[in-house]
Amino acid sequence: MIRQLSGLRAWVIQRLTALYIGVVTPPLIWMLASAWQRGEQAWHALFAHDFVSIALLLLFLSILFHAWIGMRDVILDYAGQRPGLRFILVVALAGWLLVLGVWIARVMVRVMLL
Amino acid sequence: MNRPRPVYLNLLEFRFPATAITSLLHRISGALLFLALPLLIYGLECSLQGGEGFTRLQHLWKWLPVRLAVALMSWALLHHWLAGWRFLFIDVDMGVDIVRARLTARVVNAVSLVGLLVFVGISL
Repeated sequence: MIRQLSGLRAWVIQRLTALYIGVVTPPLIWMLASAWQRGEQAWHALFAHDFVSIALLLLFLSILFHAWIGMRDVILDYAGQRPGLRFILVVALAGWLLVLGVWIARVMVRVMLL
Repeated sequence: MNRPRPVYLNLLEFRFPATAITSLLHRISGALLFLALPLLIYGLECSLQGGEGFTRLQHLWKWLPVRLAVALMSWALLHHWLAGWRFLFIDVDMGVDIVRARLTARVVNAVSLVGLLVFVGISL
């Protein structure tokens, strides 16, 4: 995984996810904020739309990949001199992002089933 | 040319042009957003749980430190988004020359600073 994502592929994934996040986030924030202000019923109604749930799920998936590459770059820049520390931090990062992925999938699946 | 070694770098003597500040803040805001992820998912989970979770979030919102944290995260999102688009345009050779690169960096820094002031102002 680390080797595969080390070069051009990581760069491309970072850019593609950035494009999706950059385009989708503003309208999604707008919709979420206005539904939130209209109260709990409007909030739930928003998530009843399949395209909202799917766009949100794709958004979180993109964010997790984007964060993986970005935070891995940060770790390699600052802990690069110490291979042991670098390994521990990158593995911890991958595990943490995996946990977040399972968590968000659970939340979104529950919403889509309701 | 031989310079006397070792060389000791004095951080205070470095200059930080607008482009460097944009880049540095892009990294800092990205790390902040990474830290915000579990809180965001937790908030989403609470809000969708039904009556109790939604009101719990509304109560949390009344707490000033929470609102200030949200203001800080909003700044991080705004800066990361603006600087991110700037980097994407630079990737396709738009705004690469130093004059435009400096101008866009200054615009990004200024807008995100104004955004921070607005977000903090709203949250107070």
